[in-house]
Amino acid sequence: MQPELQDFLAAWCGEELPPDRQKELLFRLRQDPAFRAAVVEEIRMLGMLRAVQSPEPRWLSLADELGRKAAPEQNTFTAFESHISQRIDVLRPSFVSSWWRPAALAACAALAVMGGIVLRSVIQGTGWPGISPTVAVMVQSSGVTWENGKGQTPEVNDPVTTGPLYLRSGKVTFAMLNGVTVNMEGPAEIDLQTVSQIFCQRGQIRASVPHGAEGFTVNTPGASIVDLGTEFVVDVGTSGRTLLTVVKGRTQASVRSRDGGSVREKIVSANSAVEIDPAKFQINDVAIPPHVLPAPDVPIPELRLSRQYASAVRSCAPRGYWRCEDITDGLISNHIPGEASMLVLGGVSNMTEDLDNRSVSFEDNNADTQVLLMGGNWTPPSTGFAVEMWFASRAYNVSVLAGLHAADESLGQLALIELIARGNLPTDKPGGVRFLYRWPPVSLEGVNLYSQHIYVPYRWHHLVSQRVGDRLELYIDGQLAGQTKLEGRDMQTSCQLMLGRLAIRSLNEDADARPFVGRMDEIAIYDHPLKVEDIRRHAQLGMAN
Amino acid sequence: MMEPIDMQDVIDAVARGDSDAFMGIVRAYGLPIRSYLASQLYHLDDVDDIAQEVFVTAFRRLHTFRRGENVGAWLRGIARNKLLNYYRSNSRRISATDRFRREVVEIVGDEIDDSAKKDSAARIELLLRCIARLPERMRRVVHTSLEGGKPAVLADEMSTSVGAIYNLQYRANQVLRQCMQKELSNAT
Repeated sequence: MQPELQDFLAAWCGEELPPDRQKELLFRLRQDPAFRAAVVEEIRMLGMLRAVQSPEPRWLSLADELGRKAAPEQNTFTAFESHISQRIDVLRPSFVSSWWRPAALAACAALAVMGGIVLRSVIQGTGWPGISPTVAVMVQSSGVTWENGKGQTPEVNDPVTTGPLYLRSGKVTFAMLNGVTVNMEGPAEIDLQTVSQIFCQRGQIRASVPHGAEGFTVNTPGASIVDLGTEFVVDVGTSGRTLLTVVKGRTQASVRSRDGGSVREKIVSANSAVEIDPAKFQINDVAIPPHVLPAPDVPIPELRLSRQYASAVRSCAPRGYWRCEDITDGLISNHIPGEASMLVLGGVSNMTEDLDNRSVSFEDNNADTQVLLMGGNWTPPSTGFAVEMWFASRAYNVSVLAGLHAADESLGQLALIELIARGNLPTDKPGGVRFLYRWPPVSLEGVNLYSQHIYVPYRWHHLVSQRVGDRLELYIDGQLAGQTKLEGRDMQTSCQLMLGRLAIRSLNEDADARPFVGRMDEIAIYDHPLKVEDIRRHAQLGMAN
Repeated sequence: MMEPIDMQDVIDAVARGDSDAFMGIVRAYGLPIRSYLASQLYHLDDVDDIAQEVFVTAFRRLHTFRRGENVGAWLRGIARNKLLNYYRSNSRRISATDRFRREVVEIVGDEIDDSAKKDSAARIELLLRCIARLPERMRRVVHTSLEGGKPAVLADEMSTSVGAIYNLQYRANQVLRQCMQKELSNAT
């Protein structure tokens, strides 16, 4: 770094520089475009770092402003009618006949009511939960009683949106779409403000924040706790004070003034606790409390398949079919005679405690490179091919289920099937499945297909990702979850099928490996796309899950 | 993750009396605006105060927003005026260091505006993942700058020189920019 830039940074960060030196730097800033560009780069990065690492303000003055400007109460139907009328005017400006409008209003109102009923049944019934505005899924509960008539009252596997939750008693566990696991014990009252921010009015919550989701924030009355890569417990009592216990990693605790500004901050490390007292603007070290909400243990159940499942798959003439019943000499045998076995690398293990149907398990283990690698190469036909499997993930995490890597090492990936969590670009669908197809494999371009619904962690899902001529399709649990058109991608190349991570590299060397954590089973590949009826049948033969 | 904000929907909702709909704008643009302000103001309390004023003003002037206008650019325009007012009203009370910063901002304000055009909450939040991957010494320097810690104190704790601390910060910034670029390109 050149001396002027270093002096500039020092002055920007608060170091006193002699006035002459300041003048020199400002002169250079005016005269030298390259120096100006370097300075802008640095102060922009410093600004972003400070903004992203600090707790979000509570916007109290803004909240007051929004409250003062609230429109006077009006008849709900009148407002609704007025809104519909405005929309009709926008859509059909030339229509002037007066009798049509009341009928249209009634029809729209009826449709809105029916739409609400249908949507609710889709979300809570056998259909898949839509992605927006879901921020989490409830994955476990024990002895739960929700307060009547207040806030959301989800059940296990239900999506949870932003908004309040009033837990009278029991324990619940939420898998947030950014990978954070939140455990809550009643009586408690929280507000899910965003996927990465919770307001805890009272009660005890525990957050486990994985790598990549740092910055998760828990606000309480008069305090903020920002995760810096950790696991922590927040307890808000009736005294108005907040007790923070850090189990792993570090958090930043802040006490806030009435206008939401941070008055005092403290970094709190693992195996320690502090009490935040907003009334006295103090953060005091305290002993770790005797009762700290324990980490939830959410199991993945055994995948239960009908006895007809294997024959149903074989009847579709797969190129490869690995049932994952046994790992022998580091190999999973292919149930198609004469075809390649699956090589097991790292700590991928067989769930031998499953009684009827074993699966393979990828653990959350930084020490091992856990991956399944198909022995030999496969050339997926450009006219159509399919990859089928059952998967159950732990938490939401950006992780690769399967990749087709060009056998020619100078090329890259042909296709990628991965799970998405919040944290990627706005074009991604957090909580969904992504099917990426590239041609040529060396390019950085690709066609992305995202599922329109989220998957539920700790639960088995049937997945088919396939190319059908000039189309990509994704099926989840037997339903078409997304499709998109391919153009000009008729070539094909020999590939290696890899499951469980992006590349064979140690996690310590490259955090981009996107390792999958969870279970997989019944992996099959086809040299042709599957028919819709076969996909649905395969999914139904496992839908007892 | 936030869905893209349709400003017209927000304006319509507020016009119907649903003021809370405006919070969607705050959620989508709060971090980019705070980041923009933090590039030009050093103290976080000032950043947050002015950010709040930006959104209060934006709410009051919602009726002036023109369909098709860029929401981020509109908000940054309000933020720029707030910054000018801040420096004008504090001109007699600010320290020599703050006067230096004000002059810097006057010189490079346009370049900062230009650079901030591509900011979004999701893009800036990639930084958190990248910070977690920094080597320990760099991460410590990055965290200390947030805490307002003095470089001299940190240099002492890390048994190094103040110059080395600034060099570490500079290299950390380089690594973070590369990491963000990689994260963005890996997503396609």
